[in-house]
Amino acid sequence: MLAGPMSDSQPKSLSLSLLHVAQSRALAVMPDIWACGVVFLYVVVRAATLDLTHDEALSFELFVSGGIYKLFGEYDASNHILYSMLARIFRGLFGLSEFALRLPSVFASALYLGAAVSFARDRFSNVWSRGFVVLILATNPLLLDHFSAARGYGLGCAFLAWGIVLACRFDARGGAIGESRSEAYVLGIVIGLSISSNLVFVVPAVAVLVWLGAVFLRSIGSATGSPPLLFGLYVNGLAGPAVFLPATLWALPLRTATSSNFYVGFDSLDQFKLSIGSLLLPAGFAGQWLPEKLRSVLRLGLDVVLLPELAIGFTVVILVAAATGWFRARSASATTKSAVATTFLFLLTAGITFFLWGVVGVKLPVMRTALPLLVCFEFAFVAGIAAVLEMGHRRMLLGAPLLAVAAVAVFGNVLSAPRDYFLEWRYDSQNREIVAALETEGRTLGREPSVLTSYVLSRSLRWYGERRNIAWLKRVPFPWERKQEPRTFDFVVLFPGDPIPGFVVNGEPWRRFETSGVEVYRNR
Amino acid sequence: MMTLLLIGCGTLVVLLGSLAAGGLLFRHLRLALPWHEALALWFLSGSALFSTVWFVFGVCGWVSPTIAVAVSVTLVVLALLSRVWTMLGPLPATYSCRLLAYASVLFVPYCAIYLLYALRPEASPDGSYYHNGFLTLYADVHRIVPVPDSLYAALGQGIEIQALPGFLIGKHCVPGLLQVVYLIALAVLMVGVSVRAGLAKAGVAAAFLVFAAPLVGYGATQALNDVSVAAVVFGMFACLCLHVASNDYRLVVPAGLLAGFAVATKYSAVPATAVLTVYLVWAMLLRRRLPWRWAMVSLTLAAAMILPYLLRNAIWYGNPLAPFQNAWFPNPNFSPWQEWEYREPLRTYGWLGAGGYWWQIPGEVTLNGVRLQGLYGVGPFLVPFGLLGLRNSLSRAALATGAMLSIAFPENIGARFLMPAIPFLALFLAIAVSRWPGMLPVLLLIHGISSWPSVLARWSEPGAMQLGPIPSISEVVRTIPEGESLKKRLPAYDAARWFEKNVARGDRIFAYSTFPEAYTVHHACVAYESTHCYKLSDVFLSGLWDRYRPDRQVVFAFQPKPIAALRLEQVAAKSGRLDIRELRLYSEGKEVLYDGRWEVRSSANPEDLQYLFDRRLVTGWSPWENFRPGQFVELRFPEETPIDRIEIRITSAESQPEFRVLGGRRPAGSNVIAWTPVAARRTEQVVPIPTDLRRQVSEELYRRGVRFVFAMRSDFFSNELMSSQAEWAIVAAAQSPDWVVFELLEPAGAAISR
Repeated sequence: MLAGPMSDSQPKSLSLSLLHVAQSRALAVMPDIWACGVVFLYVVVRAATLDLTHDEALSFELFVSGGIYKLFGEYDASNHILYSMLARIFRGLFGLSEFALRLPSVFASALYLGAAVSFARDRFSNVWSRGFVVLILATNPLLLDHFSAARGYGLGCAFLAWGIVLACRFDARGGAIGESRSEAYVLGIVIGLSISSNLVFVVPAVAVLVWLGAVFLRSIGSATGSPPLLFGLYVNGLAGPAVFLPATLWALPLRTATSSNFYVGFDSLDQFKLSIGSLLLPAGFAGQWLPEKLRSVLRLGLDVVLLPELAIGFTVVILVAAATGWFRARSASATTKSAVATTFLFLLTAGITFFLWGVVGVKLPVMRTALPLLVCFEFAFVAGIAAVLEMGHRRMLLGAPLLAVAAVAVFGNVLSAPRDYFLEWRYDSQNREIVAALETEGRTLGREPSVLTSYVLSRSLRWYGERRNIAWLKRVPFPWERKQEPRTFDFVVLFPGDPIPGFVVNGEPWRRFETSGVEVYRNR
Repeated sequence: MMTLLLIGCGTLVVLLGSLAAGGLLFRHLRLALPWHEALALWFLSGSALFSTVWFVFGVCGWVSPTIAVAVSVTLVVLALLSRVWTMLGPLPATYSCRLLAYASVLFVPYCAIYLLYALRPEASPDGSYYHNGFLTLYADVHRIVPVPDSLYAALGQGIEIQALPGFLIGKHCVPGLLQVVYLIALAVLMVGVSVRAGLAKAGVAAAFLVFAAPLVGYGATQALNDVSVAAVVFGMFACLCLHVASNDYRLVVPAGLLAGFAVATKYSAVPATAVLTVYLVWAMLLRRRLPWRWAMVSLTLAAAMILPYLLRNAIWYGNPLAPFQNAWFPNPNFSPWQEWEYREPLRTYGWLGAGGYWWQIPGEVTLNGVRLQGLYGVGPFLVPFGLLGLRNSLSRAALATGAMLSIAFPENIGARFLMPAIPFLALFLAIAVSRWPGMLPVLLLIHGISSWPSVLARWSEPGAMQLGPIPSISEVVRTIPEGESLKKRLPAYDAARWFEKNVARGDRIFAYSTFPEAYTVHHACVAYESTHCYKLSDVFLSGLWDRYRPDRQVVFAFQPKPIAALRLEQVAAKSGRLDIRELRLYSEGKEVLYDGRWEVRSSANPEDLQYLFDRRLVTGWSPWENFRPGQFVELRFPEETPIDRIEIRITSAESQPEFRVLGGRRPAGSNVIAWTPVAARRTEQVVPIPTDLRRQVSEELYRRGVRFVFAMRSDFFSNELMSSQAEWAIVAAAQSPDWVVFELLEPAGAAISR
């Protein structure tokens, strides 16, 4: 099914890529475009239909609603400043709705898919293989969630993906990078935009800049690569804008930041391993689509050989496959170079992450905050496949297992990706229904009812309450949170795992919402 | 509306007078420039000349609205007769319509609100206190007069004096409006300099970064002088850039004037003269494009701008560099101690070294604004990115100039004191960023939006110095009476008006906090502002604080020995101040009373030696400097006198003096005293103080002309005075929820002095 990679692939600009797409003979022979279309449709449908989650409602409340000063106010990890700015624009253009707030992420999905297509076309000549590669790159359920959710992670992933694509092209230019001033600048901007989308993308951005620094170093001595010129191009044309743009956007919000503002994830390595294990390429392995027996066997295997080790195993394979060397052979093919470089990028990103955890004390990423690692890994994996397939007679030996893993992953992703809820906010998937039910039932009381719910559910419920002009939908704190005298309440809204110790609900729930698992109790 | 009209007339009198003076200078030098740059430079260099003219008029006592109008009209007529407009060249083609449109979009909204701010009743803390306060005083007495009670009166007053004729007509808003004009001139010149270097976009961006910077906006709309200094210094830089481009010697003439005028306006601008000198040396010796005579002319003009103020200080205050360097020029008005007390907090603002670190300063002066009193916004925060544009010669020049102008910053780390350097740093940044397509708009958008007063108020920390809400039109056109508006914004405005109505001229007011003196002709003696006021403070605190209470008696006992002179020498070196309240000598148990024939000497402050023998514990002598070895009080007797005991009364201050006693003999046939240490046994004890010490304080203050004590409710002594008025022999004559005025009761049989 897969043909070999493009051995002499030339770097292309974004506009050229788009032109190439536009000039193609027919969509029928462009599975990558079809794959993009399907994924994009999935993203749009979810963005339009899924209920607003707590995190989205919180971002809206803190940074998108009200005066523009809120963008620069107190720092909070929920302020993904580029997203907040775009959301304000889309809100102004299309009015206030879930979809309008999610449009920046939908736009990000289009960008990301564009990057995936470009990368596939740069590395693979066979049209079907390109389609498959796009699916590998774009079907991770968590990634898809963030292309539909009103957060900044999707934007960050999209710009990081473009950063990787453009950096690979830059790498492929070899000694001619001295002539690439505008491309370097675009690359710098793209990296800067990824950091502006979300601060967790600082880590891969640094890794990309280090990688490109190595590319520039390697180019010294080439025909167009005099050291001062290259230094000027790197510092002034690439790294400068890459740092300046986020510095401009983040300067004000970050001025009040403290270490407590950065709640990125886990303190323990074991928790991180489990989390990241389900995130990396074979996310589909952990999905619900597998028969229970098989899943338990796999889980046993995963416990023995955890997925990060599996990922590192893949990496070693890729490195072996790229034995021609990156520094040693300037004549190495672009595919080999990109395989080595993207692997290096992933390892460096992971390395910085562990350094920050071990030395600085920053928490380890979990789920969404690990998305940068995921994107780096996906691209490294795909580039690795391309490099292996380029290896002639050995291709089947190494390529087959990789392709098998990729195929299973895509299959698993497609089967396990939920349509009607976000993975991390399942309990938020029926907020609209809950509020409607509360409204209807509340009317029967003949007075303003009060609702006891946890912090996590309260914001999204209030968001829908405000849309329905329900002024009474205010949160009553749980008994252990109260500082004043206990207040009575009419409804208790709980999600699985909530409430927290000390609060016991007796009796049967008045309503149970199956998808989200939320239960509503009436106080009688 | 009449008020607005008068403000407009007053501003025009200064503006046209300055423009005409500048026009005449440029006409005389035959320097033709594009009209926009020419007008900006005319105004700036003309301001220097206009201010100097008015300094002379002021000292001569020719301060009246009629003279103000006459001077400006004369200058305008002379300028017209000289056909100054022939020196105005056309706008270069580089100023495309697009550039002008962009500039308009950026600048017009800010300009509009700045005008509103400047036109509403003036209520800035410094402006309503001393900048406009002195103008009120000068206008009242129709001349510039010395104010030995206030160090601020000894500072450079170039801008205040320039605004004086306008103030006579339009009153308090005129100085603020002039600052707006200075800001516009600054922006025009920043664009002009950049356009010449082929960096039009960078110039517009840099000008906007400065124009919209919150602290610049604050300074440009109040009766302050920081923005004008920044504009004047940049004017000098623009002249030097023009000289580099054209090699026209004549340009160093306005450059010299402007460098000198900057210093005459604010002493912290002294580095401007260093910039000028370095440039002249470079142009003369390295570049060989400037004859030394022209360099000397430039430096002479700079000196000529500063000289009036040095002379004024030397004659009126006894120190040409007053209120600084009082150790070099001892004088009765300002002392090293008072200077140290004034300057030391300005080096730290109570923050640096006490939880604050130097590396936090950039963040403080750009994004925080609370600890160092003001912020410049996002743009200046990003200045380090300017390093990426260092290949450009203008960028290097801007960085070098900005760095030189910041040299004085450690002496006063308030954000305002960076203002002369800010235009250069903004240019430095904008040149680098302009090389990245699309980045300047992002920077300007973020800076512009976040600096808009209503937005700024929401994200900046409470207490950061910034403009308040945009004034309403009714406030500007005085539909809301000025008094009402000022009452809301100045808690002590009513106090100023009360003094105006109820206090006779010449009655001294003693205070630790200030009231808006711009709205009364009365001036308060504020404790930290001069040695005179510190002395009042010493008297006052004797009855208030334990550590100022004169209850410590130090006795030196030694073998009786006839001596011709006695010296009590302080030998410690530490912070703190020697403060001796009484000095008594004994011989065989009997007091040797002070004899008018005694010659009493001291290391410093001889005026107060009389208080050592006046038998009043609330008065005393101090050298008014930190403890240092060699401070002494010396008594020379007409004939050898046997002394065996010295008693001195000092306060219970934390830092105590260490003395040694020296006895002096006059060798036969010589008038020179030969000093030998006296082996004295020192004992020290706390002794009871008189029960009516507080009444003595009031009497002493009264004796020294003080009739009122002004206190804000938040002042440390206000509650104490309020609760024990009888003990202090004072009454609360007027009060509000924010302030109290205490009136001192006339002591029986007091020798009243004023």
